[in-house]
Amino acid sequence: MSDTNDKEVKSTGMPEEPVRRTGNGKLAVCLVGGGVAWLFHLILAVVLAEFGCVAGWDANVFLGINLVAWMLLAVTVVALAACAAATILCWKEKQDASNRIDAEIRGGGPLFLIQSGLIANVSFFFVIAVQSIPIFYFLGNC
Amino acid sequence: MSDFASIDQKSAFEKTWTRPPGVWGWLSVVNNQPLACRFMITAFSFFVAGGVLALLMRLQLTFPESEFLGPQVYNQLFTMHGSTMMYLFAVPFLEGLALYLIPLMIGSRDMAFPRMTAFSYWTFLFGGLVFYGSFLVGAIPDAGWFAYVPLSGPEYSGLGLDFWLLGLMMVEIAGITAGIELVVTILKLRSPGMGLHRLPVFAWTILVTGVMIIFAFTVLLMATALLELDRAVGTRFFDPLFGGNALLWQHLFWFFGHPEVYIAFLPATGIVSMIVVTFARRTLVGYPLVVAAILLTGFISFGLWAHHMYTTGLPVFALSFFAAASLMIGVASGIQIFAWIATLWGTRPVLSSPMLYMIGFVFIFVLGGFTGVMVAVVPFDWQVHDTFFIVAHLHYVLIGGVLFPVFGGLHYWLPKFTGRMLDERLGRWSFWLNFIGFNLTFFPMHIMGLLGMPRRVYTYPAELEIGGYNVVATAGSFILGAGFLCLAVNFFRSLLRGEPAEANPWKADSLEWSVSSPPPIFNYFRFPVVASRNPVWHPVKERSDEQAERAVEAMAGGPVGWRATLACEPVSGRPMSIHVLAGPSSAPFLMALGLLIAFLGVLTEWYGVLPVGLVFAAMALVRWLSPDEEELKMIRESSVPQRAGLPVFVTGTQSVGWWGMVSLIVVSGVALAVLVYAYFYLWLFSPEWPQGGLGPPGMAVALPTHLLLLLAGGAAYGSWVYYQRKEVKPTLGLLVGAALLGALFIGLKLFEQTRFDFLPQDHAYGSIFYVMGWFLIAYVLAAVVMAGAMLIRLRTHEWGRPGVMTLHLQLTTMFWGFVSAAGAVVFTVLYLASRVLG
Repeated sequence: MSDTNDKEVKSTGMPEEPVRRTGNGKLAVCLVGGGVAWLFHLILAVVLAEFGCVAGWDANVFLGINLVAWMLLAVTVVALAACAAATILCWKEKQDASNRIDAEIRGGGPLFLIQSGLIANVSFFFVIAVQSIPIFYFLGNC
Repeated sequence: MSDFASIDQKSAFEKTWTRPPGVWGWLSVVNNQPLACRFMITAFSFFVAGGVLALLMRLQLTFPESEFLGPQVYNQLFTMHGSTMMYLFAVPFLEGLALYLIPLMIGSRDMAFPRMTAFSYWTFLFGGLVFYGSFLVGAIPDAGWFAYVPLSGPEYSGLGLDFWLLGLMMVEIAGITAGIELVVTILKLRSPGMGLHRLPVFAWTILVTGVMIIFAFTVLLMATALLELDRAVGTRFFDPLFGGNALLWQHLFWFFGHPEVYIAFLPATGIVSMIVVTFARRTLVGYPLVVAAILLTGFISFGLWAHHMYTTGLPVFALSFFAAASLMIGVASGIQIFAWIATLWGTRPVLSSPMLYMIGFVFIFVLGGFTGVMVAVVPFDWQVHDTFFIVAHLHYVLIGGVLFPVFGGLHYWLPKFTGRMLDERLGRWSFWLNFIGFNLTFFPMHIMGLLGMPRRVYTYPAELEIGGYNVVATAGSFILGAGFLCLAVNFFRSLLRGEPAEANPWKADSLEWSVSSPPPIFNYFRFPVVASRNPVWHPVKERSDEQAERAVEAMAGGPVGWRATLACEPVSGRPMSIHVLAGPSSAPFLMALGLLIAFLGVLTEWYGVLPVGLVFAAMALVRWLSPDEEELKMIRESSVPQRAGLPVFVTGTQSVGWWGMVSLIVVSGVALAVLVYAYFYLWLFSPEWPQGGLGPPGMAVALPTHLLLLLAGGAAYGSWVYYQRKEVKPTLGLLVGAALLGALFIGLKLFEQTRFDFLPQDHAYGSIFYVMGWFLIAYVLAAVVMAGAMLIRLRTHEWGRPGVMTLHLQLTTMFWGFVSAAGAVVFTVLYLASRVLG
């Protein structure tokens, strides 16, 4: 179900106005977006660190930082951005959902998932940040 | 309040849910309650066996340089002890507990796929019997519960490892099917009003655990299959001399192995949340935080696996990420612990046995968590790896984190299951014996490990001067055993002389306490309507949802003659359809038996038995899935759907079956991903690829063959499109096309394999090349059979009449979609990757 204006009104006596629902896609991004970002960060970090070091990519140094570290920093920035995007989406949906009619109609389920997702995404942001700390110990070489 | 409107209605409804009589009826049971009890009893029996093995190990280790058992027997003991506890007790018991409680907690009459519950149990039982069958022939597995290669490979181990691998494969299949069931049931079969925001925390943990099982157990299933292929067929996945890689096994095993401990831990935390709330007499503080923590744990647990491999020589840079992740998972556990403390804060909890176990859990698990943070640090782990420090850590987190909540949960829920209260005095005795015995056994092991006592070694030198610690540990282990015995005595005593239990002896808040103790076999005569997270404490005061009330009223005490429950929208819990539940059948038992026969064929090297077993299993599956026309007629003629205002025959996300097929596709996708990972892993660590001096594989046969598969998938999808337009001839024609193209694909693929100038036994490249092809062939074969079955049924189908056919064709099309996509992946990996990346 996508995020659409739905002219159907439930028999609750509420005024007839379009009901905007949180789409399932947005709910899914809210709930697992941070986790997926974290997972990709970890997998890419491990793959790049393991194979890059074994392949000797750390011999290439730019501005005092080896290529493997640069790649890992880039991956970290992307993962943090993805996590932040999921968090911001969650926050916006939470603001909307708190005021929306469908929060009552659908019994608060989406609002709860958005709240839990928000907490999870903030936590994953923190976890990704902590997980990137080792990179700074290997800036020179592997 | 009487649950029944009249005696006749009661009888007719009960008859719908009872099993057929006799032994065959006992084999045909599909109701969640008896199957859950069987799961728990069987798992506990294995627990007792594993405990006895542990006591024997302790006796061997009591004194230095003891020859009480000898090294070979000791290796067998620690292998079977670990394997029993991890594979045959922890997860199966918790799955059994969930199978009993989840339908009650969410307001459902059974699990989503009752016959799959039965199949899961029988497969688990047969798998466990294969494990322990090794004792009968003196071929006991001895390579540890983790079975590292090359020790577990064909060169260094005997028949015992085949028992281990094949038994484990059956247990994994049981676990995966139970996991799928639990996920689909929780998402789709909740009572009206039970949105995800009102789901009991135990159900949240089971939901996340179910998803974890689908991923983790599938990886292990594939890994064990590859190892068995190395042993039985001579493939080279893990043989470095032929281009294989021993570390590949470790990566695959621990990718399962670490989530496995959280698969056991998370449901235990769910138990704690339920009990703490009851005894604090207060709703859980920080419910959204706890749910977020459960999600965090579920995700992060998949990112820790290499912390079991710190000493394997992986680059330190790579290890550092796992170290960071291993530290971070403590945050998630910490959130839950603080939520429990906050819930208890300021209350005066009743310290009866269940609550005592919860306090014991917090104490022991937190200590285990401290040592977990210590061993997450790479240099520290390098010192204590393979010592008794690790043994201490793992037992603190597993016994503290899993067993104590399980015991507390048993004290809490056994009155519901049996209708009899446990004796409180015996309960306290068992708690204190367990608590003191546990700490006496395992705390000294921290010191023993730091002083250098290695694990998995049958004795130690007297010069280490740790004999005293070992004497204390052994004494503690027998006290712990006494604690378990006390619990067992309490259980049997309660069955014989226990005080009858009320429906809600603890004055708890969740739905299972709203029915009698024990509950009726159908769980709910009338579905509850839920309006809060604590539905028994805060029941619905006024009718608010007319549609839900109408559905509940129509389904009260009905339908009769066919089994059904309400299916809901996954997020809100709003009823959307009536889900038909499969009735009693011996097919699940027979299918499990067929699998057992097939595996025994491999075990005994009577390979002719393998296809016999597989065909037997396939025939049982056909019987399982064949619709009961009489039942369909009853459903069509029933007035219940009309009165409820809900459809029965639905498709897409409304259908429970759709979710089941999605789960099957996810499992299959993970299995394929394991093979893809293995391909690239072997390539990366191989000096040449393809190995054996081969060039890139030829595409003259492969390209058209794989295009055929894509066409077949397209034809299957086309048949679905035309079916929906009710155009008979195109539907049938395209289905025939899909089946024929699929069969042609299989023939050409097999022909191609006869033209290769290498064999799977030649090198790891050959092994992965052939096995990926066989994987695809097996899936295409299944898809062809499904298309064929649909063709047969469509010949007698009444077009335009609502029925189950629409859903089945949709599911067939979905499966074909996966198979086509899998073909594209296999082609890309095997034929293009080495050309492009070479």
